[in-house]
Amino acid sequence: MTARHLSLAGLLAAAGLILYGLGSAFLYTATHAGPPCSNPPALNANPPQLVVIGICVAAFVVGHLAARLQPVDPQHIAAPAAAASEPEQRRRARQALLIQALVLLFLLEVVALLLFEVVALSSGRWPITYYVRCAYSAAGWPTTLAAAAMTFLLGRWLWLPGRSLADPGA
Amino acid sequence: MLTPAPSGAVLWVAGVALGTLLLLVAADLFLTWTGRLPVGAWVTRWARRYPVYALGLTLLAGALLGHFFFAIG
Repeated sequence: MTARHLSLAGLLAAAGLILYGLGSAFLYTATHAGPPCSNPPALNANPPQLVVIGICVAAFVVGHLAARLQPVDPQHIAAPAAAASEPEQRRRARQALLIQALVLLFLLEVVALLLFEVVALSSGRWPITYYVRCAYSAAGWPTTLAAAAMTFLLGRWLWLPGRSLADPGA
Repeated sequence: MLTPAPSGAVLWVAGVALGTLLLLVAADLFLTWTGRLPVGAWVTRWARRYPVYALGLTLLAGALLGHFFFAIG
């Protein structure tokens, strides 16, 4: 199996696990009135926390390696900025705008999460931590696998590779 | 004792957050399938171009992760 196949398989598995977790949460909420755990949610469940952490760290490393070893078609590797033509520079400006838009989206979501947290804590409701802990307490392995899917993506997207790999055209 | 928030609000927050993640996964799948630079390469280039901004966002993201997932009380 090549790194490209590993990336594709990992991305499909991560998407499937996140969809499964989201679907399970929606299904449970639609069919039950209360949370699926005690109040406050238990700290320990099966698998133990150290096993969860170990699986997540392993997924983080696999995500990074899959992205790092993944081959890129040379025609999609940009030339150095100084040698770029005008259409190429316009294309790069559009791509930069897309990245800035994603950053803006990320910041808006952070604001939404913080608002939820502020409203929850100020009105005596569960903080976000409790929902994560509740999912772990009620469905330990599915929650662990969903967490591993997210750390796989974090390792893939946010663990910076060496400069030559990050910017092969430079 | 703290009580759970209305389930609709929780699902809305979870749906938006995970939905965005799924959109990014779809984009990364497309880029990987077609042999283009993956999402991580774009993030890396952006971080190298704006290192202070990237450092600030990293600190923010780390603080949020610690707050949401590393509560031991």
